[in-house]
Parts: sequence; structure tokens; C-alpha cells
Amino acid sequence: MPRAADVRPDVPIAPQRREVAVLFKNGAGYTEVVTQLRKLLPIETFQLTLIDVEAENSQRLLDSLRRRPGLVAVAVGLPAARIARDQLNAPILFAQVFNYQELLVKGKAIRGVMAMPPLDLQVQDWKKFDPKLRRVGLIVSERHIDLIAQAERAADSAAITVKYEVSDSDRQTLYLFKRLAPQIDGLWLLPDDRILSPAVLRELLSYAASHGVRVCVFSDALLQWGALMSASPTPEDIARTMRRVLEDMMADRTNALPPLTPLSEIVVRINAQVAGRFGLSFPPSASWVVRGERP
Amino acid sequence: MNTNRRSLITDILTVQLVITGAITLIALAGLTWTSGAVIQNNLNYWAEQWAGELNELGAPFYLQNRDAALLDVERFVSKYPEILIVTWYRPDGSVFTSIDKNGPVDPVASTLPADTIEELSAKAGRTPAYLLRQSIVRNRRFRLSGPIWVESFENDGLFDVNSDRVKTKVRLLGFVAVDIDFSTYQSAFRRRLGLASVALVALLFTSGIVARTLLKRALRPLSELQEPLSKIAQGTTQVTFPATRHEETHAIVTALRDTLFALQKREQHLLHIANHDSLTGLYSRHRLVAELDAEITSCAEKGTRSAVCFVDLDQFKYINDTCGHPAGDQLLRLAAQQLCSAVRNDDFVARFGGDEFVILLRNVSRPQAKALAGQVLRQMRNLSHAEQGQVFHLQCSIGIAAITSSRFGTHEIIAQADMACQTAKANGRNRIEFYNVSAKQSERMMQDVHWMRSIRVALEKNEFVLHYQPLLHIPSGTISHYEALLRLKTSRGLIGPQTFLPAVARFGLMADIDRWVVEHAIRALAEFSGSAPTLRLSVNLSTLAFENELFASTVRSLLKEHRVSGDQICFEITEQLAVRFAVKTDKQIAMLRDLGCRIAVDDFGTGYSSFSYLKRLPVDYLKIDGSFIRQLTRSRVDQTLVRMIGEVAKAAGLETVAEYVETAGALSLLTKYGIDYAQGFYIGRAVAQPTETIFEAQPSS
Repeated sequence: MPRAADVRPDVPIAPQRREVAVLFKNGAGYTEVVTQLRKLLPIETFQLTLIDVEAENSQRLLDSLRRRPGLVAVAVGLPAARIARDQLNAPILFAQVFNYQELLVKGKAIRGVMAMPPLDLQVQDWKKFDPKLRRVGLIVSERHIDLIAQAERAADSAAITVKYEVSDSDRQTLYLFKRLAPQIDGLWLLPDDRILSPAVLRELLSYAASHGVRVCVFSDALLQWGALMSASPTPEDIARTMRRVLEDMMADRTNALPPLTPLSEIVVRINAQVAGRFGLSFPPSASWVVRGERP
Repeated sequence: MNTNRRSLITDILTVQLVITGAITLIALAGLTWTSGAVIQNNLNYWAEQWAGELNELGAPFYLQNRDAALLDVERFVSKYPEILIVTWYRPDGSVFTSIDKNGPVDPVASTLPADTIEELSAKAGRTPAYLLRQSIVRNRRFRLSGPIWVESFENDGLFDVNSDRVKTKVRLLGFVAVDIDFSTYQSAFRRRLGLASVALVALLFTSGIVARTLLKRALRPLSELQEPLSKIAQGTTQVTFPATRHEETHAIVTALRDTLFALQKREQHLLHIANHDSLTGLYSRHRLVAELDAEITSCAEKGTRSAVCFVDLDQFKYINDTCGHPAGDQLLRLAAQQLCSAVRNDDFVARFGGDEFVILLRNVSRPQAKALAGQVLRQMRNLSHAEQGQVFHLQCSIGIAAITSSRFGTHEIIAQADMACQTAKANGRNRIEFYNVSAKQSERMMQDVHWMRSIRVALEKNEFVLHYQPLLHIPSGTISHYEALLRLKTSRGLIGPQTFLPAVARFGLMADIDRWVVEHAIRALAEFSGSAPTLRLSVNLSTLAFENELFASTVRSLLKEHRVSGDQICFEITEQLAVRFAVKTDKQIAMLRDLGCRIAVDDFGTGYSSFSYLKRLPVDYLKIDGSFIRQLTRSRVDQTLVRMIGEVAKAAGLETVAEYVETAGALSLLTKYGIDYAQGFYIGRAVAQPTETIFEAQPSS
């Protein structure tokens, strides 16, 4: 696991080496991405400064990088992205941020990599695993209302109808789900943190399980709470996509880049116990199984 | 029969009823308590389930379309009759709105108290996020209240949803309170509990009736024993027991049969004892009276004649005195055999007492009676008896009285025959005399009969009394004990025993007198136990006292009944009885001494006195006969005899009593001779109640 203390010793700076500051928050969803990213940024080409934003020396490092010309900041996770935005005067590439809207400030070169795997891949894999899936519910906040259209398009390709609701709070999410449950076969739970809370997530998954609603979630961690399957990106795919976007930004092609660059890979994990309860065939020996990865 | 006695079946059923009732009460109490606890837990559970609905009920706070949300809640509430009212409060505790199953209502609830607001606010975002309060009506009403809040992840916390570090943001929207009333359910429960209780009691009642029937049937073999047992209690020994089927009743019936058999044997034995003389085997005086009663009646009814022979052995006293009582007893047995062989089979031979026998000759004329008596006389003459190297020829005198009607009763007839016998003896013995009424004889007979009747009445009406004459313990100078003396109450005053005892002896009432005296002496000891707890009494017994084999047993029962110690009583027996050494007599004396009673030989020195007897007499005291004491101060012979008796008795370990002490001089001599006790007018006259304990010497009169 990379730490701020692992900052590489100074070596003679070759003119072609480009300086990159990697800010991250120490956590399960972030460090693996940083590890993969380091593999793709060789020291011959990139001068990396790794900063754990919660470490004690993070502020000192940030201060030293604040006015560094040619620096590009890479932020993994929302807290890191916020700090990069606020404290560094450099183009910013972020990843593993669901609620990225606040980061897109006018006049700043900020681009990101999507935190979710492609929606069409999610729907297609779900459909393969659960062929009887016809109607899927989707509850999002106002901020992610654009996802509704994307989800509908993706679902349409798998012959699935999306019934959506817009929520303001976690309570309303639960309330809406309970009313939506009789009309749907599955719930597509997107990582919209403004309308979810740990308590509501637990209750929602419990309610879904007891009312025959299959839930596809964004995080493996929720499988053990009763979700049927999780659809998440691979750290390698995220790192590769970041490397690609980073190179475009360093080549002054930032303006040609979309605010978010989509990913191309997905990993699906299944909760075999829940699958068995719903009559979905799957090896019963494993509680959850990595079903497949797509390049 | 005491009809108030309780039935065993009723008692068993009562016990059963009490136990079953107690169990039922415990069961009902347990049922009520358990059901109450269960229902309470159930209601709590349901109340907690309602807590899960608080999120739904809080919808008006977090939904944009509040009206629709309220309508939704209204529909929800209408489905649940236990919900009384739902009230929403703003974060500051003021009422937002209220609805019941009929729709919105004017807010009746007041603002939430500050502490409740604080308590509920603290529960926002936590678990459990509600407060459950029971209202006044216990177990029936609840108020469920909780905060309504919204919560969201901070900083994309969804990436780290399982982590403890994940942070959320909580925003309080308000509070909702639901008043729930479960009284309908509880009333229904109580109704069912009531029905269950009634059913339980009915079951108990029914089981009681069935149990009673079964129990009666089971105990019927025991009930059937009631009748035969009742017959046994009434004295019937010819009893039939019901057939038994059960092991237990069979054992009872077997035991009863064995008991009955033993009773029959004992009854026969007692009857034999009552009817027979233990020495000779002849019929007893008691049986003789019954036979004569029947014969007199028979003669009167049929006009027949019979006769009574009174037989008295001549010279028997001589044989007894010279050869001893065992020889005398043997002679009596031989005489009895001779008498029986001399008379006809139908005739009746009884031993009247001592050497006197009575023969009832049935259906005989005067000559026939005389002939049969003559045959008796001859048989007796033929009897020779060798004893201690001497040959004795026994002779007898016979008096005959005829039974011709019912004019004379049994005792008169016996008295007539006795007088005729006395005449025969007076005329030279070894002869037969018929009863001829002379004026003197008739008067004597009438007197004896009068006394006999008076004494019978006195016994029935309890007209005897005891008086108590003190005995002085010479060495200590204290009154050690008293002698109980019999007195008969008559219109002329109290009469001493010397007047009526001859008639008592003649008519066989001595045993009754003995029994009366002993019983009343023991009773007196019990009565005086309060005022004189150490009082001791001497009681005179007749020579026939020990003829009753149960005498000692009777004494033991009386002592036990009146809670009197055996050492408080001393029995005075005659010298004749003391030296008799009959096995039965010895046994009875031993039993009495085992009870703690003491034995004194009365009138010692006048009868068969022999110092050799003193070595083996089973007694405690010798009462020196008064004839040696009356002239003690004047007669050197008496002084010598008394001194010798005292010395010999002391050497034999016996204490001595001198009676008829009438002067201080006599007492002085007795003291000098080492006599232990003194009794007589000088010591004290007989009194109605023993009180004195200290002897005060008086001038001699």
C-alpha cells in the first residue's frame, strides 16, 4: 500500500519527466487504484508524489507542490479531489468520485474517470444471470437525474424497463422503494450518497429480500447485507483509463476531453445464498463468486 | 352408634377436593400470570413492530407532497383499529398536525416537553430510535414516539460502506407519536380466560363426582365390614364376613377372623373361669346361683320338686392345719370327684367356698333326696387319703333344703340348706339333716338375706364410703399413711364391716366389695393428689380377692386410669391368703408388687402363724394382731411375743405394724421393741378425709 512516506528519493530530473501529484484517501476503494496507477506511471517518465490526504505530513507536501509549474494532480476519492481543487494550482484528474458535480468548477482544468462501470455492461450481465428480469427500479437524486436517461438506454438494449423515482433523502428513498417494490423485479442501486444512509441501505436490502426484489449494488461490501449482485469497476481499468486521460491532459488536450471518461471493464460478484433463494442457478459452494471480467 | 361421625369417603374426597382446588387455583393463577406476561410481551413486541412503521408515519416530514403523505398515513391508520391517534411534532416540540382513523383532528396534544425533545433528539440516527411508554391503563395503552430524520453519507462514503470510519450527516425533521390501545385484545383474552376457568372448575366438579363414585366402589369392601364389626362390638362372635376380592381387605378380614377366633376362645375361657372353680373344676358359686334361679322357676312352672344339698367336709380344717394347704387342696379335689361320682348325671355339683359344696338334685322327692344324700355320705366315707404317712378318712355333714315353689329365692334356699348342714354338724357330724324352720334359724336367715339385699343395693347405689385411719411411723413420729376402712351409709348412720361382712361372705359378695374398695381407694388417692400428693393408703382384701385372676390387671388399669402411682397403695391380705402359696395367688401378688404396690399380712399371729413362713412371705409388712397389743402393758407374754415378732420380722426384712394401740404406754413399749408403725385410737380414729401428717401425743384415756 503506498504511503506518503514512500515518496521516492530525489533523482536527477530528466527534462522529459513529468511531475504528477497523486492525492488519495486511505481506504479500500482507493489504495488499490493508486497501486495500479503507480504501475502504469514509470519513474523514467513520471515523477510521482504520493500524498495521503489524512496523513500528518500531507499539508507540508501540498505546500511544497502548490506553485510547482507543470504539475498535474491526480486525486483518488472525493476528499482528495476537493483538496487538490482547493490547494493546488494545477490541472486535476480525479477518480473514484461518484458525486463529482461540485468539482467541476469553471476556469479549472478538471477532468475525471467514471466511478461506475458502464451501465450497459451492468444491465447485460444482470440479464444474463437473471433472465427473468423485466422491470428494474431506479431511485436517484436530482443531481444524478442524467443517469436516468443513460440507464433507460442501457436497459432498453437488454429488454428491461426502468421505473425511476427521484428522491430527496434516504427516508424518501426507502419510502419510494417500498411503493416501487410491487412493480419491479429488481432494484438498480446507484451510488448516490445524498439519498442513502447505512440504516436505510440495510432496511432497504432487507425489505427487498423479503419482498422478492433482486438488488444490484455498486459495492461488493453490500452483498453481505443481502444484495444479489454487485457490479463494480476493476482497479486496473480505472488506472489505465486515468493514464490515458492523464496523457491527454499533459498534452494540452484537456479541452477535448469530456468531464468524465467512461470505463470499459466490469467485475460482477454474486451472493450465492441470495441467488439460491431466488432460484437462480449458481454454484452453491461459494457465498459469493467472481463471475467474470471483461477486458 | 354415633351418626355424627364423618365418612371416610367424604374425608378422602375433601382432601382430594382441597388439593385439586389448590392446584386449580395455582393453575389459574399461573395461567393468568403467564398469559398476562405473554400478552404483555406480545404487546410490547407489537409496539416495537409499530416502531418500524415510524419511518412510514414520518413521511409528511420528508415527502415534498405532504398532503398526499398525510392521506397515505390516514389510509394506513384506518387499517389498524388499535391506533388511536398519530401526532407529528416540529423539531421545537410544537404540534404539526394530528390524525386518527377518521382523518385529521384538531391537535389535542400539547407541546412535547423539553426533556422528551432532548431524549428523542438524541435518538436520531441511532438504534433503537423510539420511546415506548405505557399509559395509565396498564398493559393496554402505549405511546410510541420517535424522531424523524434524514441521513446521508458524507464524502462519497459509499466507497467505504462497511468501514467504521464512514461518516454520515443527520438532519432532524421532527417527531411523530403514535397512541396505541390494545384493550380490545386484552378484553378478548380475559373473556377466553374466564371461559377456560369455568371449564376448569366444571372439570373439577365432574372429576369430584366421578372420583366419589369410584372411591365408594373401591371402598365398598371396607364398608361391608361395618356390619360384622358392629356385631362383634355388640358381643356377637358368630359373625360372617363378606367375600373379599382385594389383597388388602382379604388381609383385614383374615386378621378379623383370627381376632374373632381368639375372642371366642377367650370368651369360652372366661366363661369357664366364671362358671367353674379353679381348684376342683366343679361349677362356681356364680354358676350355682344361675342354675338355682332357673331350677326354682322351673319347679314353680312345672310343679316339680328338687332339692339342694349343702355339704361341709368334717375335719377339713384339721387336715389343712396339720398337713398344709397343698394337702388340703388335694383333698378338696378328691372330695369333688367323690361328689360327682355319687350323684346322677343331671345333678349339679358346685363348690360354694372353702370346704363347702352345694349339690342341686333335680326332680327328686324328699326320700329320693335323702337317698342320694346318703349315697354322697357313703362315697365320702369310702374316701381315704394318705398324706405325709397318715391316712385320712373324709366325712361330711349334709343339709338338705327342698325346692317346691318359688316362695323362696336362691339365696334363701342356700341359706336353708346351710342351716340344715349346721344342724347336722351340731348333731354329731357325718349325717344328713333336712331343713326344719325354727324361729331362731328363721330370724338368722332373714337377717342374712336382709343384709345381702342391702349390700346389693348399696353397691348399685354407691352407698358405701371409705374412712381413713392414720398409721404412725414410730421412728419419725409422722403419719406415714392411712388405712382405708369400709363404712355403709344407712338411715341409722354409718355401719362398720363387722356387721355385714358375714352375710357378704355367705352370699358371695366379697369379690364385689373388694372391687368397690380398691376402685374407690385409688380414686381417693387421685382426688387427694392436690392436697396430699404423697398420701398412701392401705386397703383390706378378702380371702377371695385373688380368686379373680384378673384382679392385678384390674388394679393396673385403675392406677393408669386415675394416674396414681402403685407405691401409693398397700394391700392388706389375710394370713390365710398369704401363706397359701397357691400359684395363682403368688402370681397376682408378684404382679401387684411389680406395679409398685406393697403387701401387708393382716392380723398376723392368730391364724397359721409360723415364723418359718416369714422367710418366704412375698410381703412388705406384718400387721401384728390387735389381741397381742390390747393387753400389752399388762401382759408379759404379749410383750415377749410382740418383741419376738418384731425382731424376727426385722431379720426377715419386713416392717411391722401394731394395731389397736390405745395408750401412750403401749406406744412406748412398741417403740422400745423396734416396731415400725402403730395404728389405733391413740394414734387417731378413722376420719372422712386424711389430713394429718404429724402425730401429737395425747394423754391416755
